[in-house]
Amino acid sequence: MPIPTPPSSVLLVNKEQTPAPSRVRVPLGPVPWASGSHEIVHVGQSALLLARPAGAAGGDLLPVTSRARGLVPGGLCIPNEQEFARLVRAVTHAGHAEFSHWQAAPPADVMVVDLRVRPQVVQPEAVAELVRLAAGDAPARTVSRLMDPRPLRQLAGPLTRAALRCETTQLGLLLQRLVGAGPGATPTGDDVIVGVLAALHAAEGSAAPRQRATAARERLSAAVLPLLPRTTRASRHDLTAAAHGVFGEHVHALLAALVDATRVPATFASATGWGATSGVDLACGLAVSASTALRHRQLIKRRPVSSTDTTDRRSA
Amino acid sequence: MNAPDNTALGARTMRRLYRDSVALMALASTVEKREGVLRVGAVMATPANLEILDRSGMKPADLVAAPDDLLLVVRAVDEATVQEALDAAEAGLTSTDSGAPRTERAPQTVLEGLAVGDRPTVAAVSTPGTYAPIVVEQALREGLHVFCFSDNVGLDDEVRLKQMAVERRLLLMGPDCGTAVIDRVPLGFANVLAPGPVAIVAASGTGAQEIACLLDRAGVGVSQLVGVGGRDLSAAVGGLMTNLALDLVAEDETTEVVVVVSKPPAEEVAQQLLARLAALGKPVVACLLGLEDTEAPVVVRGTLEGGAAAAAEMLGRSVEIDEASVAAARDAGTTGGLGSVVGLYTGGTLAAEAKIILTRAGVAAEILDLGDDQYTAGRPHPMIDPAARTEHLVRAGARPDVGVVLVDLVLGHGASHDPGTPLADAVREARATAAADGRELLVLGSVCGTAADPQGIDGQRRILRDAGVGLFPSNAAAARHAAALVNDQRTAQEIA
Amino acid sequence: MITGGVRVLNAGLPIIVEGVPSVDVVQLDWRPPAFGDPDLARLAVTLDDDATHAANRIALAAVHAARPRLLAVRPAREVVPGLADGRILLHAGPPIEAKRMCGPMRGALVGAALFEGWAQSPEEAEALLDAGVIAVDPCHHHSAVGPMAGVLAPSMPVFVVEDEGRRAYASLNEGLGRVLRFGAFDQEVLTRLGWMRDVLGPVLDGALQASGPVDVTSLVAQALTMGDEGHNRNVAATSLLARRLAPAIAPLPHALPVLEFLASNDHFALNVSMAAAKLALDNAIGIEGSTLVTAMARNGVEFGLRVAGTGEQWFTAPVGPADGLFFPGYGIEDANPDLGDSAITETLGIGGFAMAAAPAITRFVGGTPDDALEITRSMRRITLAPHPAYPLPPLNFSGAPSGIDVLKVLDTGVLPVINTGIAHRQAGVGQIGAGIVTAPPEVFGQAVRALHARRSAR
Repeated sequence: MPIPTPPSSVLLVNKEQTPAPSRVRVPLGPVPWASGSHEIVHVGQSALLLARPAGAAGGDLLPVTSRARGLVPGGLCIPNEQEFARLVRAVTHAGHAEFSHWQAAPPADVMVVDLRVRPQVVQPEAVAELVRLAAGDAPARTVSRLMDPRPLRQLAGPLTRAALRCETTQLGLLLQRLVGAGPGATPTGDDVIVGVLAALHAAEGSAAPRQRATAARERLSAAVLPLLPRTTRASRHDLTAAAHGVFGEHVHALLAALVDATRVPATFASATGWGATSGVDLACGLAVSASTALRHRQLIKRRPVSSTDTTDRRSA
Repeated sequence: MNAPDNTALGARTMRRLYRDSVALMALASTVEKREGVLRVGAVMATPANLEILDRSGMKPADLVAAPDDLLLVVRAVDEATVQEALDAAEAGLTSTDSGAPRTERAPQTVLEGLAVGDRPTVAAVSTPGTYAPIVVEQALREGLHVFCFSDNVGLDDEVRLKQMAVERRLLLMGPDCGTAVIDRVPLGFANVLAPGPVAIVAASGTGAQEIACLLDRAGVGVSQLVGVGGRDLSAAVGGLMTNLALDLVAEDETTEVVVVVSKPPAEEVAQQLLARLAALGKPVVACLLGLEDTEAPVVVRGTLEGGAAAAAEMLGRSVEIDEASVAAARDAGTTGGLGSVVGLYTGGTLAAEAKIILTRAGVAAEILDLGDDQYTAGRPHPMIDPAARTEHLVRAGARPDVGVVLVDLVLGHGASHDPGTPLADAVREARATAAADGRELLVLGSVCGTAADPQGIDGQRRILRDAGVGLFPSNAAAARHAAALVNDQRTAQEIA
Repeated sequence: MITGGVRVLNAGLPIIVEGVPSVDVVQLDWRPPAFGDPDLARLAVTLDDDATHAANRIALAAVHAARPRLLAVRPAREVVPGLADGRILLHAGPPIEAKRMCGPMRGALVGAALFEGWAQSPEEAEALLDAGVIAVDPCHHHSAVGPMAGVLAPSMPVFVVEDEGRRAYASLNEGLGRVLRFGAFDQEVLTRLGWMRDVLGPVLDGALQASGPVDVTSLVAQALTMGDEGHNRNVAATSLLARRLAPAIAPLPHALPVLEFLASNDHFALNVSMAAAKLALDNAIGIEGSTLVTAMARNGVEFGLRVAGTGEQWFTAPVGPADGLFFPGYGIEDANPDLGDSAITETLGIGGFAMAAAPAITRFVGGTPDDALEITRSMRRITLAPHPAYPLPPLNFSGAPSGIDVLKVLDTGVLPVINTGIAHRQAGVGQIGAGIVTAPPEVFGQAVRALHARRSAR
């Protein structure tokens, strides 16, 4: 049987056909590859950012990532480093990507990953450890104040408190300062917000009274979405997903470490390698927010106990 | 904190350029380290980032940018620095091979240099004199012959290092050695010489060059030109390196005739040297400046020209100081010339030779070696920087007592690319100054070079002739003519 | 006339070799040697002869021949020479009187005096130290090494490493935070020290006796292939050590807290490799004429250097604070001058010298993996030979640059690079940053002068 070879396939490089990767990981939902030409937005070490053809389902961007970066929302992860490199070479050579033929000859092994964050129990010691490590991180020495992510990371606590306490005005002001702010292609402020959203999603399991956390998360998501035009494409993609409770595998790794303090140092160490500051920005948002939510619960517990609080404590 | 007003701010927007944030941070740090750069930002142009820039006094006026644009901002001490930094940053962003291996650094020390590729056999040393003995010692220890251009090396160091070299049968040419040609490879100030049968062992750089160039004119090539440093035949050094060089050229199969050139050696050293030369086993000319010409036991000549002529003769050639060209030069420079002789030389031995010839002719003259420490004092040697001679020439032109100026022009590797033009300019100016004062200043000289030298000997000669320089085929011929002029003048005055 | 043809090494002006075919020229990027001191450069060149080279070959072979094994964990009093009787405390770096010590070191000594029960209050401890009632002496003088303040008291447990009957010792790493080696001496610190004495030491010793000695050289070598450089990153070595000992620890009483302690302390193996490095380098002490560096150590006031050919003599120069990366809220004004015996790792050829092995920490010290490669390459310029037991994967498995030669340091002007943690100048605040420091140039000059004087006297 002849193998279908569309004319402008990315699999045609030097007239030699490259098969689709043998293994891919994709998020739950429709497969991310669509027909039509995908323009290249950015080629990085561990990620290839492609723009989806206008009208295609699943958002603006298709991030294709390596094992080091892990699967991200709306993306496609190629765990075999050689296959990832081969695909990046093919795409950069062609100048754009075209996945139509994958419909006919899809990768042999397609692993579907649920990127939604579930409510989970966190260990206070692990949260404290991650807060400590994230606070101790310093950028490379000659970075000027302009490029310093730390002042923005410090807003994670106030942001969580404002969301938990329904302080809508304060929430708006903080988001104005955070969205699109700081160094990087996904600016620090955006990574911090993603971290906070992840913590609030997880916290529905243990940290704060469930309804409070849910309400806080919904308030924050609602407030972030109108501000998306203020940031970069890559951040818009991440923030949109986060507002819907979907996060990259690397965020899941950080959340998983929060159940066991001994896993925190290694996870944090690998986070320092995600982008220049992104990993630590995320870790900081996540840890500080989780810690704030934990304290918030303790404060509430001193007040007269409500029925929801009782249920919640049982699960803690 | 707003930056002070006397600094400059600049920005560059790169439309929809996504770069790895690791690359952005690295880029910002690199640019921030540039001299004169005060602050750098490399951020996406989101409203929040523009606000941060504004608050820090880093937002340029009339900036148009969207969140997906990459913005580079630089504040620096001046506009030029800002632009250079932005250019560098942009180049850094658009280069793709950030992971490429770095270029290997050049070796720094003697030992590191020896580890590179094929092992070197000769070390050329032109470091400041204080460090030269250290580098020379390192090189000798590693079994390298040494060409030491550096001067200001102490006499005790010279003796110690030469003893060390002799023990190892290694040449230590110098210190203060200007020229050498070893196995046809030129080092320092060296003329491009055809290979041939004459080896020159020289305690004098320009002396060796003059002899080699005169031989070249006679169609005689040079096998080796070994410099030994100006002090080698002093009592203290005792000809340590001259002796080793003589051993080597005596063994050298390409060498048929040997010329030793030096200022007159210390008496006891001279005796030893002549004895050594007499027993060398090859025909020898001892060109010892200022000594009487003798033929036995060794041929001795007191001028460079004489030395070259004797060596050429031994090979059945002659250094023709072509009468016609002497006459032409004489014609160019016979009118005027009333007054005394001043020599303005860049080559030390050429100056010495001129002085000897004038003295032998009974003419007192003021001969300056402008390459001598007292004139260079912190400036480059006049062979490297011919402009150094200009002021002396112009001053001579203004002196009513000076009638004749003797000059040299040395070509070859190491010399400046066009030494003739600055000399010609200076000659014109000096002659004009004298003419304005109602005198005629005669400038006489010679060009020490070969037809193969990179500067082009004919062109250089023409430049000098056009400026009115009376050009002779040798330095000695120019000096003889100067002496003759003064003596004619004296005779004329006596008759009058 | 010249055998092998004329090929020129050019030190100085390129114009000198203008007429030489460029393929036959090696142009040096020559710089004044000996940090611009011509007299010193002369002494160095005089020493740089066959006799010295021969002595250095012997010295380096002795260092590389060492195969230290971690044998036991015992109370210092029982094993460390000179600690059996009397009131004596050991400290990091070259000798220094108690009165001149920096804050963290005094704090650590006070803590150790309280821990030993020699004083009931910090004030009393300080008075006893100042009066000399409690003696102080460098670890290095007792075959021992200690990181940061490096304070070792008789009842503290020490690692015992051995090779062919020779031994070296190091304290046990307490972890990060408020710890004695940064000068903290509150109850939490003393309680932990007590636990280390009563539980950790005996359990580790029991495990070692049960499982047999650990080959430290191969432990370090393996860790270097796993992203450690052996000074600022020890997570691989610690994991390997813990994995090795865990089965032997598990059946012992208190196994869980001991294993938890090992799991929580990424630097636990540092002290083991320090002791092993000390043992290896001590092999070269006293080899006449050798210019090999046998120790680099800081006491928070001075940097100290020892060279094989001058035996146990220290060459010292004032040491400044490391200019590294500081944790938020701290800056160089808070930093204590550089501290600790841990530069023994660089002296052997790991730590900063093996940066190429540890790309993961380059960001921590403000650089890229390229910078790490460059650092290791530049350390090759001042060392005698690669360490055969420590191949570095990023450099095609050539060995870590090993054996610092003071003559090469003077000739190139390249100073040894040391990876270091930065302590707060006040006792007990702890680590406030990390970075790369270089040894001060003065000590290398002193060493060459002393070596030269020694040779002239012979």
